[in-house]
Amino acid sequence: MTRPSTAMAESQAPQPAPLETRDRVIVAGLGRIGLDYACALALHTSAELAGLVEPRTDLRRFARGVGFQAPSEPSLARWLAKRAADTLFVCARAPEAARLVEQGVEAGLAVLVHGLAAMPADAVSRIEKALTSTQRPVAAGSAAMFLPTFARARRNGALSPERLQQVRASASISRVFSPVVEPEGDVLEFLLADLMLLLDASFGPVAAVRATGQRLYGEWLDECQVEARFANGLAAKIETSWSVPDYPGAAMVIEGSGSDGRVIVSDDALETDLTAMQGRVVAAGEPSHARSEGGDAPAVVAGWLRALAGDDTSAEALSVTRAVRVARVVEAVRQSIAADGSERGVNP
Amino acid sequence: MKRPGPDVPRLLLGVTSLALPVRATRDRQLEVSGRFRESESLAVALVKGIAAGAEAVLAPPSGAIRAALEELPKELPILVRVPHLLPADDLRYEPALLFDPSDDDDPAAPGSKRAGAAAKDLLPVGLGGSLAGRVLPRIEREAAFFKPSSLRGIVVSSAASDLAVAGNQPRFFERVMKFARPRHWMVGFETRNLGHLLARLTSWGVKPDFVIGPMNPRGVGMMPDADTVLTAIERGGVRVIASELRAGGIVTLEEGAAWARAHGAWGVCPELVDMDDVPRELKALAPQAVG
Repeated sequence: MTRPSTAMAESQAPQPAPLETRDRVIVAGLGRIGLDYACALALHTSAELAGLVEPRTDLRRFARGVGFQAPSEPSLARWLAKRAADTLFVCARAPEAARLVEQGVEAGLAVLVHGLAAMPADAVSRIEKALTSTQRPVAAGSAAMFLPTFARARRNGALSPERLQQVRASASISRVFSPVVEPEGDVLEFLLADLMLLLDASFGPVAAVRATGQRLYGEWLDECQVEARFANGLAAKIETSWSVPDYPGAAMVIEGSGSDGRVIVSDDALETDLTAMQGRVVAAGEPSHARSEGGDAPAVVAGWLRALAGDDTSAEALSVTRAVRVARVVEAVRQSIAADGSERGVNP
Repeated sequence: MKRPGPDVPRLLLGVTSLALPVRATRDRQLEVSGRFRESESLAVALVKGIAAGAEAVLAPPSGAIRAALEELPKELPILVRVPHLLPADDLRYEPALLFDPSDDDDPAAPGSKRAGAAAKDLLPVGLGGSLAGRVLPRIEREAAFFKPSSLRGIVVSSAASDLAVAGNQPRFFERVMKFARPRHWMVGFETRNLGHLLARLTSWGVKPDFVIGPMNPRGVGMMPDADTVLTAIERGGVRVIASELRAGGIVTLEEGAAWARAHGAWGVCPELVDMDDVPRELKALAPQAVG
């Protein structure tokens, strides 16, 4: 019988040794994302879904109705008073997330916080302070950092400030077309933060931004245009919109050119036309370390467990420092939009 | 006397890719959704697909599909993919299945169904709100989107079935099957985690009519890994209809379908996004064409 072959398998980095014991994880915040994490943990052999924390009864009941038998409590303190765990995954919204991270760190847990780069400044400061005070493993989870084509472009140096002098980036999706659908946040939280994570991982920190934004369907920002100046002098033009027809899934694109040639990376494919590097790689042909599919969580969970096992690439993709930096870029974008597009420096 | 089992199709035509994200390049998705934007062109593709040998259309209960079917003077056999969740559900913090779209918008309104939900909040967490209890009313309502005479069965979308797999919840599968049986519907479960689902079904001793999940020669989307999926299929027990045959566009449809069948798939389900010439390519995949 012919078993499947993965075209890029030969280029995979050496596998870290599996964890000796399963990581016992509490998922706090049982919204859509938290449930995705619970599912990914339940389907991974190196992890154990040890518990669930959620103050809302309807969400705890939903998780129980799905079948999760892990003990659930309305607060982390109550959960920890009765049991022990290794890790806390924080999937709650911003103010609650900051409280949970502080409690988790105080209890000596390793902590992964989802969506940190999209959180508001006050929550980010509290989370940063808590996470820098612990010696336990900490991480900021975003599925964008595990998009395989971008990961390959970072690995092979196709996206690097040394090769490229001009950079354009965009993120598009079909979501908001009328005030009838009232979204939880805005396009900066929904798309820009992830795109900025990819740009930061490729080109380094952003030093300053000028931005404009449009509120087309309600009180929230639906589109924005950013001119970003990186600390190394590179400049990038960035556009995001969540009202582009026919894009059911998010389209992330980074395009760069320089004297060495041209690179286009999207979540679909990586196309390189550089003197030293030419070719096309499609996302589906890239290796995946995830052990399940469904939402954003499986890639992040796989990355977390690989990082615990000593894989530096996965640990780097989960960098808290970068997520905090990007959160400050997003904040600077917000300030620039409010100030009619005048330049705003990014707080270090 | 025991009723004979349903005639599980060997070839389905999937049209989910018109409305939902699939593993294909964006250019390809845009091209295909543009091609079938007019209901007439979609109707022609569907009717020719059935004529070419597809035994049913696997379709979500969407307005575009219904508009296409209404163009046709004859009924087509439909397997409805339910519950139908929309991409925009990810704008909310809460999981999409927490809410029922038939609920009133204003939870404080007199007679609102949410009043029931509020009352449920007074119950202990362990009571009420099983996944099947939430999903079955939606399935019933969404299945009614199509004419009963054209409806051959239901395929529970991966959004629900994979939750139950992760939650190790056999009752969900049993209740859906029990619900469908008196209606004489076939019951399939779609999954993005085929190896996990087959392992669970074996351990539970639960046997739906079929399951649909990714199978292709590159192992793309075969979770937790291709070897585990193939081993689970070799063990047998549940009929598998293979989807994602083109591995996100890396291999041809013919190659993907041939590989899936050679590795134990009962049937195959190419999507519109996988094909340029729907009737010709389906005809080449029809059981009588491949022997």
